[in-house]
Amino acid sequence: MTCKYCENIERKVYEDENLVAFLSDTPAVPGHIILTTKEHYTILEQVPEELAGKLFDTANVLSSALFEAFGAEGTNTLIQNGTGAGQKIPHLAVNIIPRKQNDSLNFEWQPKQLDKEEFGVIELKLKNACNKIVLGKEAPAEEVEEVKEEKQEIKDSSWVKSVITRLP
Amino acid sequence: MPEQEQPTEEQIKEFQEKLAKMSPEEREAFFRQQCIFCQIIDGKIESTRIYEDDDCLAILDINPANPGHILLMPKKHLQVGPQVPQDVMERMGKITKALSNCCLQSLKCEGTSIFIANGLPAGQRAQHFMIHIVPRKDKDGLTCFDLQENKIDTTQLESLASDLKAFISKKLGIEIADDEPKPAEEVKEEPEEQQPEPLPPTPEETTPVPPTPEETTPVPPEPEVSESKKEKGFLYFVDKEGDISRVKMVRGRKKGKQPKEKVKVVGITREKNRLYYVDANLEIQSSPMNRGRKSKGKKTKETKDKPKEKPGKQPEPEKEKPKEAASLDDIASLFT
Repeated sequence: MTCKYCENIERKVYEDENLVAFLSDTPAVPGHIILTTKEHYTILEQVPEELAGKLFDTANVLSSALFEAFGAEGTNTLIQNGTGAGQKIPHLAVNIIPRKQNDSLNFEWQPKQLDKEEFGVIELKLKNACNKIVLGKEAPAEEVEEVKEEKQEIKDSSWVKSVITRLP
Repeated sequence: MPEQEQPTEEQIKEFQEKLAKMSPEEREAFFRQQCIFCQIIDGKIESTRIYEDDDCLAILDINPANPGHILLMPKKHLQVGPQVPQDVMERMGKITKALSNCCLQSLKCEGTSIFIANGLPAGQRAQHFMIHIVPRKDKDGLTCFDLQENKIDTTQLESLASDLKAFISKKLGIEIADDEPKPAEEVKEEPEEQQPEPLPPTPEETTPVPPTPEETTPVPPEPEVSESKKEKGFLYFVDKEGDISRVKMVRGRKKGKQPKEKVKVVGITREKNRLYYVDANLEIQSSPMNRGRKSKGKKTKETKDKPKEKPGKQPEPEKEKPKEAASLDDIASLFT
């Protein structure tokens, strides 16, 4: 399957050695830019670190240009990273969208409420992952134990709840 | 994200005038007192820190779009993207990539939405620039990050592109080449850098990674060598191409399609009113199908026109040839 963003880029608005930006032909609003890597990467995690940095800086620069060029009152930058996030084309794309007051778009979400336990478990998981992936550290044994204990606590409390609910 | 009241236009104007009179240091000090996120960065308000370095801080949003929603912000007070210096933005880009990877690895999500809102009309609620990293799962109900795909007049599109290209070329002092057709590049499936497993499900490429456990039906390029006997647990049938295929028979409540596999290529042409089946020796047999009440096996008056025998009970089943003889002759021979 040939990749739409690997060939025949039309309506280019920016280009350098590694990146290219063009106007979307199915825009959310007119002026919707797509910034992508010339090299084929499907998701952000595959992009080399230096290039990922440049990608975000270039997106920022193009976002500023939209303010001035189109008289935008705001801009959104959105990456749909992976199918779970709604990615349709298997080539990493940074969407840069000019915004105006009362335009047809709305990216606002309804905040969710998490209970303390769930929040705590997510915190530990992300911290461990961060230590490992970002900082290259192994998770300290105590922290790994804490995650296990948390999980056991939740499991136990669920068991207790199920017992209680079974009682007449 | 902490909610903030929307100021009136008068208040905004007054505030901007006040700011304009301040020096950069005064401005920074002012915001460190006023901005909730500066207070968080300085440790004056409690937060859940996930990552921190000299330039930026990542915390968990206490009012998340999805569990694991991360806010990555510069430590310096910067309100919107255009104010962020290049080195800080590049740093945050690298950290965003890493944090997204952390979400995928540790939270087992199927993607991440990476979102920046610059300016009130864009939905910016906090007065401190930040990058949102939201873990996503298929059908998680979060529709706010869906992108509309609208049609646009080609002429308008070309005109916009031309204007923007000219503007950017001039602003950045670069030359942007005219559109040229690019040769199709080979789809790169393997990441260049060392990547921890597993990667999230990506849109289908040459080798899709489906997130669901169901198997897709394989398309075997060549049929297997025919076995002399049927294997137990399989249902053998004559498929649409006129070959022998089989599918595993599933017991119990297990649902879902089972993969079919070709066993033998025969390529028979099906004829009307014949039932085709696979015999014990893995050969395709056929027998005429009866119509009407006679097919039920009850003793009824025979007519000359209709065949009598039930499917599958022919005493002399015939082997299939691509163009076989007329069926009526075979039936007629049984009456002699």
